[in-house]
Amino acid sequence: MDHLTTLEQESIYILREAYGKIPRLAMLWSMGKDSTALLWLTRKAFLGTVPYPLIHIDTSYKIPAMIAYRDRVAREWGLELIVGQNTEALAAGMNHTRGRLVCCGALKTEALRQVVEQHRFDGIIVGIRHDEEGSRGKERVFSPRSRRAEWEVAEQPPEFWNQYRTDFAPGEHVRVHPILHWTELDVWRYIERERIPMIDLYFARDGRRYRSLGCEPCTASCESTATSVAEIIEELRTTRVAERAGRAQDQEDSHAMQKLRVKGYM
Amino acid sequence: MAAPELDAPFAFVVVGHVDHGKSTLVGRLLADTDALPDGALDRVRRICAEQHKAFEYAFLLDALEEEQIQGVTIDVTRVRFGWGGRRYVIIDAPGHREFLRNMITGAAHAAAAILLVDAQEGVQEQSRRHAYLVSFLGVRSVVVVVNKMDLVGYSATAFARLQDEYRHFLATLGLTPTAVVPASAREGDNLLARSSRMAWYTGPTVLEALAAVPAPAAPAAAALRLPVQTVLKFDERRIVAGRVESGTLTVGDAITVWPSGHTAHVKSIEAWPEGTAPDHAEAGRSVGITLDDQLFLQRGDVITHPVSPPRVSTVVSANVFWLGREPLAPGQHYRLRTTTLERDVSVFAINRVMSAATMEVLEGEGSIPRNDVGEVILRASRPLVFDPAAAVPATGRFVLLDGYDLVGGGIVLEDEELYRRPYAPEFPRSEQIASVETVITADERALAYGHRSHVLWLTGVPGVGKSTLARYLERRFFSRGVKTVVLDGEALRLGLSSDLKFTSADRAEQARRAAEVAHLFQRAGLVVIVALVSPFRADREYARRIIGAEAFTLVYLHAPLEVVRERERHGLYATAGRDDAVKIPGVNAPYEPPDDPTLAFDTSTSALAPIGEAVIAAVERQIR
Repeated sequence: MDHLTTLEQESIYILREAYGKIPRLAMLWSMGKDSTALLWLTRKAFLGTVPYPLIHIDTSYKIPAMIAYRDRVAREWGLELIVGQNTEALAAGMNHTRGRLVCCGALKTEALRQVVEQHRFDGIIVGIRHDEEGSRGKERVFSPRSRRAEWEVAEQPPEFWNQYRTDFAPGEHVRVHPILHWTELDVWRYIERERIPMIDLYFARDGRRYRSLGCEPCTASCESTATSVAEIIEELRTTRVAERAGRAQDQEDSHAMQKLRVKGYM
Repeated sequence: MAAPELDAPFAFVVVGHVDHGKSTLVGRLLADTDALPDGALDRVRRICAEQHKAFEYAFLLDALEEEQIQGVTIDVTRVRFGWGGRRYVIIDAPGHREFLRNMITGAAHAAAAILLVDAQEGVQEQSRRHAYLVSFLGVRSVVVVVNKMDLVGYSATAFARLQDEYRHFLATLGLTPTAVVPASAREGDNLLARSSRMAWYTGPTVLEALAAVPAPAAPAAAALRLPVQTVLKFDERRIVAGRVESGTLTVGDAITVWPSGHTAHVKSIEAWPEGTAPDHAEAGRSVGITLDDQLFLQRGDVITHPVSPPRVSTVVSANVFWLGREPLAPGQHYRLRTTTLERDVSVFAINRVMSAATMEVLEGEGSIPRNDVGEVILRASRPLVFDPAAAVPATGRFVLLDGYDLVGGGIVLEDEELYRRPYAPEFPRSEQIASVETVITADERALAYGHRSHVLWLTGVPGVGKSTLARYLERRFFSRGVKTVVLDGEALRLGLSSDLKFTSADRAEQARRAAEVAHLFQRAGLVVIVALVSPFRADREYARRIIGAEAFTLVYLHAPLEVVRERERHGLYATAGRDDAVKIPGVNAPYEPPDDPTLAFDTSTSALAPIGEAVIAAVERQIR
């Protein structure tokens, strides 16, 4: 098997482990490249079916094109979509000027926590990858979350020989990370090979494109001439810029992402 | 960043004792191979300045705040770089013994290991334990890096001494390092380029040594193992999903499902999008298949070709590495998982306990402490399906769970004696049944009956005189006021074992039943005389284990074959000469003489009475 197929088959195995072991399962879909590739892998794992609902955490500050894309794909692919939003925080005027980490905590972490609680999900499938940033580099494939949805970073269970911790005490839940072992480039090569439809924010217009998608006020585009998947791959092969360089919340603090993620951020 | 290739990156894990410089080595390799994104070095400079520390290469790896403040790796980091046309993933594992579970998590995904040793501190506890663990996890290629050579003045003698010591230890694990490299990660000596400060060293640099490690070979034609993960039923198709762990599955193949033993044929391999369905699937493929027969299948069942069945047994012998807070002890109950199969198991016996730091047997240790290893026998409530790890690694490994936590890993040993007895699927097996304690104690019974209970187990080939001796003993014990009963192989076959034949497997099952019945009578306070061929050492050993060595006497009766032939009453030996289907232990079927019977008699040279009296004398000493 070639490298991409090996990655794909491993991810399918993980998705099926989650499906076979975890009673109430859902998947986070941000419409970005990673979770859209993960959606594709889901359909491969379950032979065309998506056997769990998708959750989109809508901060209300997302780039408008993302919402249009979300609704169109959900309709075309017949997806069951749950949109989570911390309406209380929004009503109280939450936005990034109150502090980016505070805003992410309220509009993303807390909104996700509410959805998990409301639907009593036991497992949430998330398309994060080890190579995105330091704290994600420490993640497990099956990552337990306490009752408060917190990540006990120094107390993670061992994982070896494809054996994961899949049983949990009542009230706890698990984050399942099926593409943890992929790189940004692996994802794009896979999108190219499988011809997975992508949102066009990733493709350059007027010399700029998005490399990582998020909320409009906190996500910067980068200089690029890449207008196709093949050109993006070519660009990434030689870049020296980190993938999340355009994500403002990462730069708030030396350990910004860890601080967000121990509280339950994706 | 380095030019990525389409091949899988080569995964190395860096292990060794805490503070020997693993993260520094990896950080320096990243910096020197130009693998860092813009700003990474600046970011570390900033963090080091914030904490008033000198520049730490390790901070490129140890991303967690706690790790940077305490200067210790807590959890695994994976980093990537390219060098000399090869892509690498380097897995930086924590060296502190508190984080061993994290080190295992990292090492399990590696194709090879760098074992790092501090030149000044020398080989330490985790240097040895980590070496053992990487070999336990299945990593066979290792490179040793002797780090911090700057602290010993780049001394060739210090290096040679350390190299000898570590090589000697690794040899006890069956590991031969492909290179032992003297280096200084902080100073950059012998990482990429040869250091002028160690002109005496002529071997490869660290990166040259990595480049020379061969990629793991794809396994040759192996037995098919497809453990069932889940059964998918979204439309009219009933799709059995799982990953081919070993071998190749082809549409049309005849398959057997274990432990049920049911058979069917592979009708199709399903796939999405339409038109992508393959006609075969090799190891590593996650498949969804349909069968020509609507068998009832569930998670944990294992699909194989009929010609290469797995082991199916309620007993398994294994090397176990233990991570649990409480020691692994006889009688403890755990959950065992091998691929997707899960069973409740109990620890039946611990044959030996070893320190994973020294590989020395811990004499007199009855349980396996945290972070050490041992050879154990586990019993499952329902049949396990597995292979010896040497034959099929994927189905020869398991983990143990205590509650929700993963507390150990095991490698199944080749143990002919234990596994010889095949599981007969038509026989009911007890599930989730705990043993019931009797109200009356053994001491109370002994007081009331005037003697302790005992099991006298007579073994030997057919015709050697077991039944004759048993009857003699029964009468003599009875006349001495001993409450006794005879369990004769033939009598058992009339009732309890009327379903059994004379194959080796059935003889083993016959012995198991006799052992269980003898145990019941023994608990009732009787002296039980078992007269049974019981040809296999393992079965007799089983009886001794469940009854307890203190209440068990094994008597081995033997005689030359000519004498036995003459004496045997059923004409079995004559038939065996004509009919190959008739199997007689000691003639055309195995009979394993006991290694250390309590008593042994040649029934062709001694008369019945002296043998009988000798046995009585021996047993009397034990029961009064």
